[in-house]
Amino acid sequence: MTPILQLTDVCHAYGEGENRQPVLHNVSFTLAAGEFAALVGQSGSGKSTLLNQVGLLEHALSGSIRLNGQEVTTLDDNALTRLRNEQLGFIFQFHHLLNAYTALENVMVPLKIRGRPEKALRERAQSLLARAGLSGLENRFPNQLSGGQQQRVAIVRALMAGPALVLADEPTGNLDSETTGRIFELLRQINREDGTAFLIVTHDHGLAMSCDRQLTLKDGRLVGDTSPSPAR
Amino acid sequence: MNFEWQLALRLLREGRAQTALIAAGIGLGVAVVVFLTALINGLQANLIARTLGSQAHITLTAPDRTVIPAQLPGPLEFQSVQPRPQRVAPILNSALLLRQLAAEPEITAISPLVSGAAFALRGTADKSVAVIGVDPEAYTRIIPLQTQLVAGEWRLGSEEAVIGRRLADELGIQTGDRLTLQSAGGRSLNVTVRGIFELGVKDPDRRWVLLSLRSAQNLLNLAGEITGIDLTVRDLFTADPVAARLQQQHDITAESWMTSNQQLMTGLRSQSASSSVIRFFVLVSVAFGIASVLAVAVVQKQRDIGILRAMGMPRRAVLRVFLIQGGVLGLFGALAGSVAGAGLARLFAGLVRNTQGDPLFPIALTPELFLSAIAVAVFTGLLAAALPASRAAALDPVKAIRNS
Repeated sequence: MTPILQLTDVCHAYGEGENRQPVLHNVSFTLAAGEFAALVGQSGSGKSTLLNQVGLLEHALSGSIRLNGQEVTTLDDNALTRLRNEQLGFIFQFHHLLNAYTALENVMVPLKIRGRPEKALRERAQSLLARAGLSGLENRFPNQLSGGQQQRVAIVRALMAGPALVLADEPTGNLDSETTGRIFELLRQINREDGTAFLIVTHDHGLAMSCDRQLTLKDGRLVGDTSPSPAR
Repeated sequence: MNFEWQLALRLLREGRAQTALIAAGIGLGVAVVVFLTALINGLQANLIARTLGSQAHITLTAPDRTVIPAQLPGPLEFQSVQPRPQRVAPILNSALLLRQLAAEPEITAISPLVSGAAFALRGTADKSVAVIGVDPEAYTRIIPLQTQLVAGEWRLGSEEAVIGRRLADELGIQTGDRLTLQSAGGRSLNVTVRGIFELGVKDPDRRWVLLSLRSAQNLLNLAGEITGIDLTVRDLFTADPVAARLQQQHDITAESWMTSNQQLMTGLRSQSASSSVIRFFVLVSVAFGIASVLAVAVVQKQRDIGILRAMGMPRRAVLRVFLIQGGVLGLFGALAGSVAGAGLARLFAGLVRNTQGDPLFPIALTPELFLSAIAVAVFTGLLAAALPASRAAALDPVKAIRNS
């Protein structure tokens, strides 16, 4: 399969001089288009840092990151910003919706950033919200939705621009087990139906086992890359 | 609507209490600026109008006669130089000069005149007067005396005169009465008083006797000559440089209203300077208000900024969102402040009146004042927003999301 993401010897560290703290050591892996992978590891293992590198939010100190075949480590901030908007979707542990916008408007934000007129986006946004079981809630503001509903809106927002890869940082970390199951099922369904690749950071062993592939980080090193999952 | 505009307005609406408070603060500042400017402009316009109601913007006269040292052999040292007495002197080549002045684009009206001292005699009373011979039509374009008549009409035919109100009272004259004028050279002229004016300025009201140009020339023994030219210029505050240029180009003395009213000009300048200082500090406090509110908003909204940056919103767009907020706050504040300032000005005009019950002076509430107040407030808003906006644009999305 065509690789959507290719990391080669990615290293990263925080701090300067004596305070320099390495967090990623020569991490290399490839993610194919349509893959559904979990990134697991203990707290402080470097999962969030790796996600930030892949999400083009931080520059790697060394190594190579190719997104859809394009080397991104040499790009400037403007180019990275554009790539984030066009190629990536983000789902955060806390939904991080804009409180000033309704559910429908939140979903349309990534494409409105791109300058698309609202009229042209409304239909797609409504259909995606319906697919996530949020029909009738389009005009509610985030504070009028439950935690699960808020996270569903955040998922739909991540998918709105049709990204090649969705990066999810503990997408169910703040939800009860029943809601977690439903959210995970929604992600799985989107992956199967749309072929969107997912890289999901999770502490939930059960969820990780349900993914096609598990990448395990320990002390900034990739120590495990297993697939397929027997639980699948 | 453009996403940046929509987001900026949504953020302002979301913090509506904060937005309303700062808009009210800006409004108060703009109201003070509008009120103060209207008051000062009205007062100054009134003072200038009163001054120029009896005066040309520029007056041209023949150059003063100067002492020319005698060419004597040997070294000479003058211990003192006695200035020459200045008699009424005609302007040389006046016809040519008038044609040249007519071609000047800055000059809007020209009135040749002849003037000199005389005595006004009526019965046993006599008064020293200033005889001014003018072309009636041209002169009214310089000083609109026809609008200042308290009796009679503006008519200056042969042997007809228009005189000041005080002079008329002192000589016991009404329109239609006869008056004898006697020049220093011994010539005399009997005239009929056709009109009586009141400019509200002591000297003209007490001393001026206006005649036709020809009558005055005959009385003052200056047949065919003129002794002065009154001018108005397009922008009255350019009178000084225009006068200086005319004096340099022609053999004349040119005096602007600004030179002959130095004290008034000093007063106006001091007034303008103090008003500018007050306006400056009001604007500075408005700018600090906007900047502090937006700085707080940047901190409060750093999570949203981080998310938007992660979703691909460029730094420039984030910058614009906060600049728009600054500009919009300035605009709303300016609109509210303009209304409040105009209200204050009208209230002032209604409350502060002279003994006749009329407003002391007209308050200058012009469209230009409101437009400039709005433009300055919006610009101040943008300027004040620049620092918080650049801080917002510089936020690292990872830190912004993590810290929130």
